[in-house]
Amino acid sequence: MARNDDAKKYKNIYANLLGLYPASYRRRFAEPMQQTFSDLCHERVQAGEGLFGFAMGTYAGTFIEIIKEHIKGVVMSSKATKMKIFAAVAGVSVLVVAAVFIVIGNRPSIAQSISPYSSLEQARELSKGQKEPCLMDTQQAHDAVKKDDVMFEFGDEKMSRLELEASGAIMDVPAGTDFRLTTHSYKDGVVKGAMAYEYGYGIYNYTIKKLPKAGEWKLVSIIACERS
Amino acid sequence: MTNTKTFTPLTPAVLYILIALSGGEKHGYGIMKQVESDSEGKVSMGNGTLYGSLKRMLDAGLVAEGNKKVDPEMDDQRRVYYKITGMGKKALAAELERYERVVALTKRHAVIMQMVGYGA
Repeated sequence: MARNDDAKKYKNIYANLLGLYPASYRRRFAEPMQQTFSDLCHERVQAGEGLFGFAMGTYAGTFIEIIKEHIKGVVMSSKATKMKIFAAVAGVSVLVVAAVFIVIGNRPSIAQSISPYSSLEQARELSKGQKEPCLMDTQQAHDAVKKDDVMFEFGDEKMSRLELEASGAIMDVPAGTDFRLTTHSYKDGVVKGAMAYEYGYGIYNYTIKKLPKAGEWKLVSIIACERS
Repeated sequence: MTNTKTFTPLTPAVLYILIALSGGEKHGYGIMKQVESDSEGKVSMGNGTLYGSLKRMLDAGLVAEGNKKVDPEMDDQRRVYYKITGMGKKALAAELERYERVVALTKRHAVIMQMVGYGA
């Protein structure tokens, strides 16, 4: 009975502690967190173990996580401001570059600068001798895809869902390998472009289909390509 | 054109949660117990770490929230269940592949094995 009273006391303290999380986090996770804490208390009571050490350890760990969440919130908001400034500067730069091309009468694709890659053997092998020119970036497709895409943070990386879907195309490529993505066309929910892995993993034209849910994509095919 | 990286190496917490969920959907307590069992008691995840990781994984689309339901093996409380997504399975497969490559590489290099005293 005394242990059950203790458990109730510790649960109340924990519920109050969860109130220190940022509001959005609290709304989403406070209830399941309380439930899990309650399950763990129950497990210990059933096993005849004390709750004091466990509760203090959980409070300390939770408090550290609360601080982390608040710091992350601050960093995210300043990043958002930085992103807005960057987007504005990038937008102006694109307009200036486009104007220069128009003035001098030379209008190549804006992103014809896909880097050359030394090893295409594996890519050719994968496509059994098929060779097709790599699809270049077009600003129109890039902007259209961006509207339907969703960005997220995972670890230290900022990625889009489309990039995530494309990056997992070849399981053989080790995690952490740099790769570049072009967006050539976006029509009827189908994105076409090229992706180039570094360290000789090759360049491929990809086809990715948009799924009904926002930010969800499905890789349909990849074909080894060659830079023209 | 965007420059990015493939799946970054997963943190131990994220890896263990994905492994735990690969056997089927689980609630928070269920995930904790599964991780403890999978790691033979070596990894003990606190409540804060578990839900902090789940939040990041939900945001990244690696796991999804299922419906609230009662666990027949526990009390009659309704619990939030979490399940691995297709993207989560892909990330897990990529990470396990990465581990396999490291192990294969280490085995090929007998010198390295001697240096670290493996199998000595």
